[in-house]
Amino acid sequence: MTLPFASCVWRGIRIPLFLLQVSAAIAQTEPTALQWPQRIYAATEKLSYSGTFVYQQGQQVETSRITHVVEASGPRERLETLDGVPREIIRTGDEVVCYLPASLTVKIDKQPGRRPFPAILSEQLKDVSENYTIRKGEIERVGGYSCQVLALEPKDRMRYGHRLWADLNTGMLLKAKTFDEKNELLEQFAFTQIKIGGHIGRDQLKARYSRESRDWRVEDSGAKRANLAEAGWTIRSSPAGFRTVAELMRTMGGIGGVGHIVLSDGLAAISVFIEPATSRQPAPQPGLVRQGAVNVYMRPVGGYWVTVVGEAPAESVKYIANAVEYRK
Amino acid sequence: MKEKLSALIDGELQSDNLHAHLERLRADPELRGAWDTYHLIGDALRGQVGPRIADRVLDRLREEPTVLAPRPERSPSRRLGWYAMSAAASIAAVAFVVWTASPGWRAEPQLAGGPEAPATAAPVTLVSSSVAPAEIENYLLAHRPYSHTSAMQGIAPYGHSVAHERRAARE
Repeated sequence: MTLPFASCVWRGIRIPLFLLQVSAAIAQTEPTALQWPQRIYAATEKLSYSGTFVYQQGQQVETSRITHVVEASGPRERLETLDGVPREIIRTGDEVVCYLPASLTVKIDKQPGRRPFPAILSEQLKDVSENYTIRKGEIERVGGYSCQVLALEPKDRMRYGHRLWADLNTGMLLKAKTFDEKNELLEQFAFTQIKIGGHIGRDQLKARYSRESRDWRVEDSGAKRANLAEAGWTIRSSPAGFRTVAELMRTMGGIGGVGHIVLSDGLAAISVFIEPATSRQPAPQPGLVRQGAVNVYMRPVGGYWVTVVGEAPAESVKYIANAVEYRK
Repeated sequence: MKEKLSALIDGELQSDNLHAHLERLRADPELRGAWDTYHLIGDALRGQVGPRIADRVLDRLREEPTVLAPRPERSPSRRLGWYAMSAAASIAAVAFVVWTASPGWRAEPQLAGGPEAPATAAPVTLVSSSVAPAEIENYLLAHRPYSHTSAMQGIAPYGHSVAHERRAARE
Protein backbone atom coordinates (compact mmCIF):
# COMPACT_ATOMS: atom_id res chain seq x y z
CA MET A 1 0.00 0.00 0.00
CA THR A 2 2.72 2.41 0.95
CA LEU A 3 4.71 1.88 -2.18
CA PRO A 4 2.00 2.85 -4.68
CA PHE A 5 1.10 5.78 -2.48
CA ALA A 6 4.71 6.93 -2.41
CA SER A 7 5.00 6.53 -6.15
CA CYS A 8 1.85 8.61 -6.56
CA VAL A 9 3.38 11.34 -4.47
CA TRP A 10 6.59 11.06 -6.40
CA ARG A 11 4.76 11.25 -9.71
CA GLY A 12 2.71 14.10 -8.31
CA ILE A 13 5.90 16.03 -7.86
CA ARG A 14 7.45 14.94 -11.12
CA ILE A 15 4.52 15.99 -13.30
CA PRO A 16 4.38 19.64 -12.25
CA LEU A 17 8.17 19.79 -12.54
CA PHE A 18 7.98 18.41 -16.05
CA LEU A 19 5.30 20.96 -16.96
CA LEU A 20 7.42 23.75 -15.51
CA GLN A 21 10.34 22.71 -17.68
CA VAL A 22 8.14 22.72 -20.79
CA SER A 23 6.68 26.13 -20.06
CA ALA A 24 10.18 27.49 -19.42
CA ALA A 25 11.22 26.16 -22.82
CA ILE A 26 8.18 27.82 -24.44
CA ALA A 27 8.92 31.11 -22.68
CA GLN A 28 12.39 31.08 -24.21
CA THR A 29 11.28 30.45 -27.76
CA GLU A 30 7.79 31.89 -27.92
CA PRO A 31 7.83 35.31 -29.57
CA THR A 32 6.46 38.31 -27.72
CA ALA A 33 3.60 40.36 -29.13
CA LEU A 34 6.13 42.85 -30.54
CA GLN A 35 8.14 40.10 -32.24
CA TRP A 36 5.14 38.72 -34.11
CA PRO A 37 4.89 41.36 -36.87
CA GLN A 38 8.57 40.71 -37.64
CA ARG A 39 7.93 36.96 -37.78
CA ILE A 40 5.05 37.57 -40.19
CA TYR A 41 7.11 39.77 -42.55
CA ALA A 42 9.94 37.23 -42.51
CA ALA A 43 7.59 34.32 -43.19
CA THR A 44 5.78 35.88 -46.20
CA GLU A 45 9.14 36.81 -47.72
CA LYS A 46 11.29 33.76 -46.97
CA LEU A 47 8.85 30.85 -47.11
CA SER A 48 7.63 29.05 -50.18
CA TYR A 49 3.90 28.47 -50.12
CA SER A 50 0.96 27.75 -52.33
CA GLY A 51 -2.69 28.12 -51.44
CA THR A 52 -6.16 29.50 -51.99
CA PHE A 53 -7.52 32.50 -50.15
CA VAL A 54 -10.83 34.28 -49.90
CA TYR A 55 -11.17 38.06 -49.73
CA GLN A 56 -14.40 39.51 -48.42
CA GLN A 57 -15.58 43.09 -48.27
CA GLY A 58 -19.22 43.79 -47.54
CA GLN A 59 -21.26 41.33 -49.57
CA GLN A 60 -18.52 40.80 -52.08
CA VAL A 61 -16.37 37.68 -51.93
CA GLU A 62 -13.47 36.81 -54.24
CA THR A 63 -11.34 33.66 -54.31
CA SER A 64 -7.74 33.66 -55.54
CA ARG A 65 -4.86 31.25 -55.76
CA ILE A 66 -1.34 32.32 -54.79
CA THR A 67 2.03 30.62 -55.23
CA HIS A 68 5.20 32.06 -53.70
CA VAL A 69 8.52 30.38 -54.35
CA VAL A 70 11.85 31.53 -52.92
CA GLU A 71 14.69 30.97 -55.36
CA ALA A 72 18.38 31.84 -55.15
CA SER A 73 17.67 35.00 -57.18
CA GLY A 74 14.85 36.04 -54.85
CA PRO A 75 11.15 35.37 -54.40
CA ARG A 76 8.77 34.84 -57.31
CA GLU A 77 5.03 35.04 -56.92
CA ARG A 78 1.98 34.28 -59.00
CA LEU A 79 -1.57 35.19 -58.15
CA GLU A 80 -4.61 34.17 -60.12
CA THR A 81 -8.24 35.02 -59.46
CA LEU A 82 -10.54 32.01 -59.48
CA ASP A 83 -13.94 33.64 -59.84
CA GLY A 84 -15.25 36.58 -61.78
CA VAL A 85 -13.13 38.31 -64.37
CA PRO A 86 -9.89 36.38 -64.89
CA ARG A 87 -6.72 38.16 -63.86
CA GLU A 88 -3.18 37.12 -63.23
CA ILE A 89 -0.32 38.84 -61.43
CA ILE A 90 3.32 37.77 -61.53
CA ARG A 91 5.90 39.35 -59.26
CA THR A 92 9.61 38.84 -59.79
CA GLY A 93 11.82 40.86 -57.48
CA ASP A 94 10.58 44.42 -57.63
CA GLU A 95 8.68 43.98 -60.89
CA VAL A 96 4.94 43.29 -61.00
CA VAL A 97 3.19 42.23 -64.21
CA CYS A 98 -0.63 42.20 -64.33
CA TYR A 99 -2.41 40.33 -67.09
CA LEU A 100 -5.95 41.65 -67.60
CA PRO A 101 -7.53 39.45 -70.28
CA ALA A 102 -10.90 41.24 -70.00
CA SER A 103 -9.38 44.40 -71.43
CA LEU A 104 -6.52 42.68 -73.32
CA THR A 105 -4.01 44.70 -71.31
CA VAL A 106 -0.70 43.93 -69.61
CA LYS A 107 0.32 46.37 -66.87
CA ILE A 108 3.94 46.44 -65.80
CA ASP A 109 5.00 48.19 -62.63
CA LYS A 110 8.35 48.49 -60.90
CA GLN A 111 8.68 49.37 -57.24
CA PRO A 112 11.91 51.31 -56.96
CA GLY A 113 10.92 52.54 -53.49
CA ARG A 114 10.50 49.03 -52.18
CA ARG A 115 13.64 48.14 -50.29
CA PRO A 116 14.58 44.48 -50.07
CA PHE A 117 13.77 42.54 -46.94
CA PRO A 118 14.96 42.90 -44.17
CA ALA A 119 16.17 46.48 -44.71
CA ILE A 120 12.67 47.82 -44.18
CA LEU A 121 12.18 46.01 -40.94
CA SER A 122 13.76 47.85 -38.06
CA GLU A 123 12.40 51.36 -38.67
CA GLN A 124 9.09 50.01 -39.90
CA LEU A 125 8.58 47.91 -36.77
CA LYS A 126 9.45 50.91 -34.64
CA ASP A 127 6.73 52.87 -36.43
CA VAL A 128 4.25 50.03 -35.94
CA SER A 129 4.89 49.88 -32.21
CA GLU A 130 4.60 53.67 -31.91
CA ASN A 131 1.27 53.86 -33.72
CA TYR A 132 -0.42 50.64 -32.62
CA THR A 133 -0.83 48.69 -29.42
CA ILE A 134 0.03 45.06 -30.20
CA ARG A 135 -1.52 42.36 -28.05
CA LYS A 136 -1.45 38.61 -28.27
CA GLY A 137 -4.80 36.86 -28.25
CA GLU A 138 -5.98 33.25 -28.31
CA ILE A 139 -4.72 30.37 -30.39
CA GLU A 140 -7.20 29.65 -33.20
CA ARG A 141 -7.24 27.34 -36.21
CA VAL A 142 -7.17 28.65 -39.80
CA GLY A 143 -6.83 26.45 -42.88
CA GLY A 144 -5.87 23.52 -40.66
CA TYR A 145 -3.05 25.40 -38.90
CA SER A 146 -2.93 26.53 -35.26
CA CYS A 147 -2.57 30.29 -35.31
CA GLN A 148 -1.58 33.00 -32.87
CA VAL A 149 -4.19 35.77 -32.89
CA LEU A 150 -2.71 39.29 -32.75
CA ALA A 151 -4.63 42.50 -32.18
CA LEU A 152 -3.14 45.73 -33.54
CA GLU A 153 -5.13 48.53 -32.00
CA PRO A 154 -4.62 52.04 -33.37
CA LYS A 155 -3.46 54.62 -30.82
CA ASP A 156 -5.56 57.34 -32.51
CA ARG A 157 -8.35 57.75 -35.08
CA MET A 158 -6.02 58.34 -38.01
CA ARG A 159 -5.57 54.64 -38.79
CA TYR A 160 -7.53 51.39 -38.79
CA GLY A 161 -7.28 48.45 -36.42
CA HIS A 162 -6.21 44.98 -37.48
CA ARG A 163 -6.58 41.44 -36.23
CA LEU A 164 -4.07 38.94 -37.57
CA TRP A 165 -3.89 35.16 -37.47
CA ALA A 166 -0.35 33.82 -37.95
CA ASP A 167 0.75 30.18 -38.07
CA LEU A 168 2.36 29.27 -34.72
CA ASN A 169 5.16 27.26 -36.32
CA THR A 170 6.16 29.36 -39.33
CA GLY A 171 4.70 32.83 -38.68
CA MET A 172 2.86 32.74 -42.03
CA LEU A 173 -0.11 35.13 -42.06
CA LEU A 174 -3.21 33.05 -42.75
CA LYS A 175 -6.02 35.45 -41.95
CA ALA A 176 -6.42 39.20 -41.43
CA LYS A 177 -9.31 41.49 -40.58
CA THR A 178 -9.41 45.29 -40.78
CA PHE A 179 -11.71 47.34 -38.55
CA ASP A 180 -12.83 50.97 -38.74
CA GLU A 181 -12.99 53.61 -35.98
CA LYS A 182 -16.27 52.09 -34.73
CA ASN A 183 -14.66 48.67 -34.61
CA GLU A 184 -16.79 47.48 -37.52
CA LEU A 185 -15.31 45.00 -39.98
CA LEU A 186 -14.17 46.68 -43.22
CA GLU A 187 -12.58 43.74 -45.00
CA GLN A 188 -10.92 40.42 -44.38
CA PHE A 189 -8.87 37.82 -46.11
CA ALA A 190 -8.27 34.21 -45.11
CA PHE A 191 -6.56 31.19 -46.59
CA THR A 192 -8.97 28.29 -47.01
CA GLN A 193 -6.16 25.95 -48.02
CA ILE A 194 -2.39 26.43 -47.95
CA LYS A 195 0.74 24.33 -48.24
CA ILE A 196 3.68 25.93 -46.45
CA GLY A 197 7.20 24.83 -47.41
CA GLY A 198 8.07 21.57 -49.18
CA HIS A 199 8.37 21.25 -52.93
CA ILE A 200 6.33 23.64 -55.07
CA GLY A 201 6.70 23.01 -58.78
CA ARG A 202 8.04 25.87 -60.90
CA ASP A 203 5.22 25.22 -63.38
CA GLN A 204 2.86 26.75 -60.83
CA LEU A 205 4.64 30.08 -61.37
CA LYS A 206 4.20 30.08 -65.13
CA ALA A 207 2.06 32.92 -66.47
CA ARG A 208 -1.07 31.51 -68.05
CA TYR A 209 -1.37 34.47 -70.44
CA SER A 210 2.31 34.95 -71.37
CA ARG A 211 1.85 33.61 -74.92
CA GLU A 212 -1.67 34.88 -75.53
CA SER A 213 -0.83 38.39 -74.33
CA ARG A 214 1.81 39.04 -77.00
CA ASP A 215 -0.47 41.32 -78.98
CA TRP A 216 -2.22 42.90 -75.99
CA ARG A 217 -1.81 46.55 -75.07
CA VAL A 218 1.14 47.05 -72.70
CA GLU A 219 1.07 49.80 -70.09
CA ASP A 220 4.45 50.24 -68.44
CA SER A 221 4.46 52.52 -65.41
CA GLY A 222 8.14 53.34 -65.97
CA ALA A 223 8.26 54.24 -62.27
CA LYS A 224 11.48 55.98 -61.23
CA ARG A 225 12.66 57.57 -58.01
CA ALA A 226 12.18 61.33 -58.10
CA ASN A 227 12.57 64.40 -55.95
CA LEU A 228 9.14 66.01 -55.96
CA ALA A 229 10.11 68.54 -53.29
CA GLU A 230 12.65 69.90 -55.77
CA ALA A 231 9.88 70.14 -58.34
CA GLY A 232 7.92 72.31 -55.88
CA TRP A 233 5.59 69.76 -54.26
CA THR A 234 5.40 69.47 -50.50
CA ILE A 235 3.06 67.96 -47.94
CA ARG A 236 2.74 70.75 -45.37
CA SER A 237 1.97 68.36 -42.52
CA SER A 238 0.81 64.78 -42.26
CA PRO A 239 -1.25 62.97 -39.61
CA ALA A 240 0.79 61.90 -36.56
CA GLY A 241 2.87 58.81 -37.24
CA PHE A 242 2.82 59.05 -41.06
CA ARG A 243 6.04 59.89 -42.88
CA THR A 244 7.20 59.91 -46.48
CA VAL A 245 8.79 56.60 -47.50
CA ALA A 246 9.01 56.94 -51.32
CA GLU A 247 8.88 59.61 -54.05
CA LEU A 248 8.46 58.56 -57.67
CA MET A 249 7.47 59.64 -61.16
CA ARG A 250 5.33 57.24 -63.19
CA THR A 251 3.03 56.79 -66.14
CA MET A 252 -0.55 55.97 -65.23
CA GLY A 253 -3.38 55.08 -67.59
CA GLY A 254 -1.27 56.33 -70.49
CA ILE A 255 -0.52 59.67 -68.81
CA GLY A 256 3.15 60.38 -68.18
CA GLY A 257 4.76 62.58 -65.54
CA VAL A 258 2.51 61.61 -62.66
CA GLY A 259 4.14 62.35 -59.29
CA HIS A 260 3.69 59.68 -56.60
CA ILE A 261 4.51 60.22 -52.91
CA VAL A 262 4.04 57.34 -50.45
CA LEU A 263 3.50 57.91 -46.72
CA SER A 264 3.41 55.12 -44.13
CA ASP A 265 2.82 54.62 -40.42
CA GLY A 266 4.70 51.32 -40.51
CA LEU A 267 1.59 49.34 -41.44
CA ALA A 268 -0.89 51.41 -43.44
CA ALA A 269 0.27 53.33 -46.52
CA ILE A 270 -1.21 56.40 -48.19
CA SER A 271 -0.29 57.36 -51.76
CA VAL A 272 -0.46 60.91 -53.15
CA PHE A 273 -0.72 61.15 -56.96
CA ILE A 274 -0.11 64.48 -58.68
CA GLU A 275 -0.97 64.87 -62.36
CA PRO A 276 -1.40 67.82 -64.72
CA ALA A 277 -5.05 68.89 -64.97
CA THR A 278 -4.71 68.95 -68.76
CA SER A 279 -4.46 65.16 -68.70
CA ARG A 280 -7.90 64.97 -67.14
CA GLN A 281 -10.47 66.35 -69.55
CA PRO A 282 -13.25 66.72 -68.70
CA ALA A 283 -12.23 67.59 -65.17
CA PRO A 284 -13.28 65.07 -62.49
CA GLN A 285 -15.48 66.16 -59.63
CA PRO A 286 -13.55 66.68 -56.39
CA GLY A 287 -14.60 64.47 -53.50
CA LEU A 288 -14.23 61.27 -51.57
CA VAL A 289 -15.01 57.72 -52.59
CA ARG A 290 -14.62 54.66 -50.43
CA GLN A 291 -14.49 50.92 -50.90
CA GLY A 292 -13.80 48.60 -48.01
CA ALA A 293 -10.73 49.90 -46.21
CA VAL A 294 -9.60 52.13 -49.10
CA ASN A 295 -10.48 55.82 -49.28
CA VAL A 296 -9.80 57.95 -52.35
CA TYR A 297 -9.93 61.74 -52.22
CA MET A 298 -9.42 64.08 -55.20
CA ARG A 299 -8.91 67.80 -55.25
CA PRO A 300 -7.50 70.33 -57.71
CA VAL A 301 -4.32 72.18 -56.70
CA GLY A 302 -3.36 74.93 -59.12
CA GLY A 303 -3.21 73.40 -62.57
CA TYR A 304 -2.97 69.88 -61.14
CA TRP A 305 -5.17 67.12 -59.76
CA VAL A 306 -4.15 65.62 -56.46
CA THR A 307 -5.52 62.13 -55.77
CA VAL A 308 -4.88 60.55 -52.37
CA VAL A 309 -5.40 56.80 -51.99
CA GLY A 310 -4.94 54.81 -48.81
CA GLU A 311 -6.23 52.06 -46.57
CA ALA A 312 -6.80 54.62 -43.85
CA PRO A 313 -9.83 56.50 -42.47
CA ALA A 314 -11.30 59.27 -44.63
CA GLU A 315 -10.01 61.78 -42.09
CA SER A 316 -6.36 60.84 -42.73
CA VAL A 317 -6.73 60.71 -46.51
CA LYS A 318 -8.44 64.14 -46.61
CA TYR A 319 -5.92 65.61 -44.17
CA ILE A 320 -3.04 64.67 -46.46
CA ALA A 321 -4.87 65.81 -49.62
CA ASN A 322 -5.52 69.21 -48.07
CA ALA A 323 -1.88 69.53 -46.99
CA VAL A 324 -0.46 69.11 -50.51
CA GLU A 325 1.07 72.38 -51.70
CA TYR A 326 2.81 73.62 -54.80
CA ARG A 327 5.45 76.31 -54.33
CA LYS A 328 7.73 77.42 -57.09
CA MET B 1 -8.32 38.53 -83.92
CA LYS B 2 -9.87 39.21 -87.32
CA GLU B 3 -12.08 36.13 -87.24
CA LYS B 4 -13.24 37.35 -83.83
CA LEU B 5 -14.01 40.63 -85.56
CA SER B 6 -16.30 38.96 -88.05
CA ALA B 7 -17.94 37.06 -85.17
CA LEU B 8 -18.41 40.44 -83.52
CA ILE B 9 -20.02 41.91 -86.63
CA ASP B 10 -22.29 38.88 -86.84
CA GLY B 11 -23.26 39.34 -83.18
CA GLU B 12 -21.88 35.95 -82.21
CA LEU B 13 -19.63 36.98 -79.31
CA GLN B 14 -20.41 36.34 -75.64
CA SER B 15 -20.86 39.42 -73.50
CA ASP B 16 -17.50 39.06 -71.65
CA ASN B 17 -15.60 38.72 -74.91
CA LEU B 18 -17.69 41.41 -76.48
CA HIS B 19 -16.44 44.06 -74.09
CA ALA B 20 -12.83 43.03 -74.54
CA HIS B 21 -13.08 43.10 -78.31
CA LEU B 22 -14.86 46.42 -78.41
CA GLU B 23 -12.12 47.81 -76.16
CA ARG B 24 -9.49 46.35 -78.45
CA LEU B 25 -11.29 47.76 -81.48
CA ARG B 26 -11.32 51.19 -79.89
CA ALA B 27 -7.59 51.06 -79.17
CA ASP B 28 -6.34 49.57 -82.42
CA PRO B 29 -6.58 51.70 -85.59
CA GLU B 30 -5.59 48.79 -87.78
CA LEU B 31 -8.42 46.70 -86.41
CA ARG B 32 -10.81 49.59 -86.90
CA GLY B 33 -9.69 49.71 -90.49
CA ALA B 34 -10.51 46.00 -90.81
CA TRP B 35 -13.87 46.63 -89.15
CA ASP B 36 -14.61 49.33 -91.73
CA THR B 37 -13.51 47.05 -94.55
CA TYR B 38 -15.73 44.18 -93.38
CA HIS B 39 -18.68 46.50 -93.15
CA LEU B 40 -17.82 47.97 -96.49
CA ILE B 41 -17.82 44.45 -98.00
CA GLY B 42 -21.19 43.84 -96.37
CA ASP B 43 -22.54 47.15 -97.59
CA ALA B 44 -21.18 46.59 -101.08
CA LEU B 45 -22.83 43.17 -101.21
CA ARG B 46 -26.07 44.85 -100.22
CA GLY B 47 -25.47 47.58 -102.77
CA GLN B 48 -25.03 50.35 -100.17
CA VAL B 49 -21.46 51.58 -100.55
CA GLY B 50 -20.15 54.28 -98.20
CA PRO B 51 -16.35 54.50 -98.05
CA ARG B 52 -14.37 55.64 -95.00
CA ILE B 53 -17.40 56.14 -92.79
CA ALA B 54 -15.32 56.36 -89.60
CA ASP B 55 -13.01 59.03 -90.99
CA ARG B 56 -15.88 61.10 -92.28
CA VAL B 57 -17.65 60.97 -88.93
CA LEU B 58 -14.38 61.92 -87.20
CA ASP B 59 -13.96 64.90 -89.55
CA ARG B 60 -17.45 66.04 -88.68
CA LEU B 61 -16.71 65.62 -84.96
CA ARG B 62 -13.55 67.70 -85.26
CA GLU B 63 -15.65 70.56 -86.59
CA GLU B 64 -17.94 70.42 -83.55
CA PRO B 65 -17.15 72.91 -80.76
CA THR B 66 -15.50 71.39 -77.65
CA VAL B 67 -17.75 71.52 -74.60
CA LEU B 68 -15.91 71.81 -71.29
CA ALA B 69 -18.42 70.32 -68.91
CA PRO B 70 -18.35 67.63 -66.23
CA ARG B 71 -18.74 64.15 -67.54
CA PRO B 72 -22.45 63.31 -67.59
CA GLU B 73 -23.64 61.03 -64.81
CA ARG B 74 -24.57 57.58 -65.92
CA SER B 75 -28.25 57.39 -66.51
CA PRO B 76 -29.74 56.00 -63.29
CA SER B 77 -32.71 54.55 -65.14
CA ARG B 78 -30.48 52.50 -67.42
CA ARG B 79 -28.40 51.10 -64.59
CA LEU B 80 -31.41 50.46 -62.46
CA GLY B 81 -32.92 48.57 -65.36
CA TRP B 82 -29.85 46.39 -65.57
CA TYR B 83 -29.89 45.57 -61.90
CA ALA B 84 -33.63 45.04 -61.92
CA MET B 85 -33.10 42.39 -64.56
CA SER B 86 -30.18 40.67 -62.91
CA ALA B 87 -31.71 40.75 -59.46
CA ALA B 88 -35.39 40.44 -60.19
CA ALA B 89 -36.01 38.46 -57.03
CA SER B 90 -34.18 40.88 -54.78
CA ILE B 91 -36.25 42.63 -52.20
CA ALA B 92 -33.43 45.04 -51.41
CA ALA B 93 -34.17 47.34 -54.36
CA VAL B 94 -33.36 50.39 -52.25
CA ALA B 95 -29.88 49.09 -51.58
CA PHE B 96 -29.32 48.73 -55.30
CA VAL B 97 -30.36 52.31 -55.96
CA VAL B 98 -27.76 53.50 -53.46
CA TRP B 99 -25.16 51.13 -54.87
CA THR B 100 -25.66 52.30 -58.45
CA ALA B 101 -24.96 55.92 -57.49
CA SER B 102 -21.29 54.98 -57.66
CA PRO B 103 -20.86 51.30 -58.40
CA GLY B 104 -18.72 49.72 -55.71
CA TRP B 105 -17.29 53.05 -54.75
CA ARG B 106 -19.47 54.69 -52.19
CA ALA B 107 -19.35 58.45 -52.49
CA GLU B 108 -19.07 60.12 -49.13
CA PRO B 109 -22.21 62.02 -48.12
CA GLN B 110 -21.17 65.63 -47.76
CA LEU B 111 -22.94 68.44 -46.00
CA ALA B 112 -24.30 70.92 -48.51
CA GLY B 113 -22.91 73.87 -46.56
CA GLY B 114 -19.34 72.55 -46.46
CA PRO B 115 -17.52 71.15 -43.45
CA GLU B 116 -18.26 74.20 -41.30
CA ALA B 117 -22.04 73.82 -41.51
CA PRO B 118 -23.67 72.41 -38.36
CA ALA B 119 -24.30 68.70 -38.80
CA THR B 120 -27.97 68.92 -37.95
CA ALA B 121 -28.95 71.82 -40.19
CA ALA B 122 -27.88 71.01 -43.72
CA PRO B 123 -29.54 68.32 -45.79
CA VAL B 124 -27.21 65.51 -46.76
CA THR B 125 -26.47 65.21 -50.45
CA LEU B 126 -24.65 62.37 -52.10
CA VAL B 127 -21.64 63.71 -53.95
CA SER B 128 -20.82 61.15 -56.54
CA SER B 129 -17.30 61.33 -57.88
CA SER B 130 -16.88 61.19 -61.60
CA VAL B 131 -13.80 58.98 -61.29
CA ALA B 132 -14.50 55.80 -63.21
CA PRO B 133 -13.76 52.54 -61.38
CA ALA B 134 -11.20 51.68 -64.06
CA GLU B 135 -9.29 54.87 -63.24
CA ILE B 136 -9.37 54.17 -59.51
CA GLU B 137 -8.01 50.77 -60.45
CA ASN B 138 -4.90 52.46 -61.88
CA TYR B 139 -4.30 54.33 -58.62
CA LEU B 140 -4.87 51.18 -56.59
CA LEU B 141 -2.46 49.10 -58.63
CA ALA B 142 0.20 51.78 -58.24
CA HIS B 143 -0.48 52.15 -54.52
CA ARG B 144 -0.86 48.56 -53.31
CA PRO B 145 2.79 47.49 -53.36
CA TYR B 146 3.69 50.22 -50.87
CA SER B 147 1.13 49.17 -48.32
CA HIS B 148 2.86 47.24 -45.57
CA THR B 149 -0.26 45.31 -44.88
CA SER B 150 0.37 44.17 -48.47
CA ALA B 151 3.96 43.38 -47.56
CA MET B 152 2.68 40.99 -44.94
CA GLN B 153 0.23 39.41 -47.31
CA GLY B 154 2.61 39.02 -50.25
CA ILE B 155 0.85 40.04 -53.44
CA ALA B 156 -2.47 38.83 -52.08
CA PRO B 157 -3.93 42.36 -51.85
CA TYR B 158 -3.82 42.64 -55.63
CA GLY B 159 -6.69 40.23 -55.63
CA HIS B 160 -8.76 42.75 -53.75
CA SER B 161 -9.43 45.10 -56.61
CA VAL B 162 -10.67 42.43 -58.95
CA ALA B 163 -14.28 43.27 -58.26
CA HIS B 164 -13.68 46.80 -59.49
CA GLU B 165 -12.35 45.49 -62.74
CA ARG B 166 -15.45 43.38 -63.09
CA ARG B 167 -17.67 46.41 -62.64
CA ALA B 168 -15.56 48.46 -64.97
CA ALA B 169 -15.91 45.74 -67.57
CA ARG B 170 -19.67 45.96 -67.42
CA GLU B 171 -19.77 49.61 -68.23
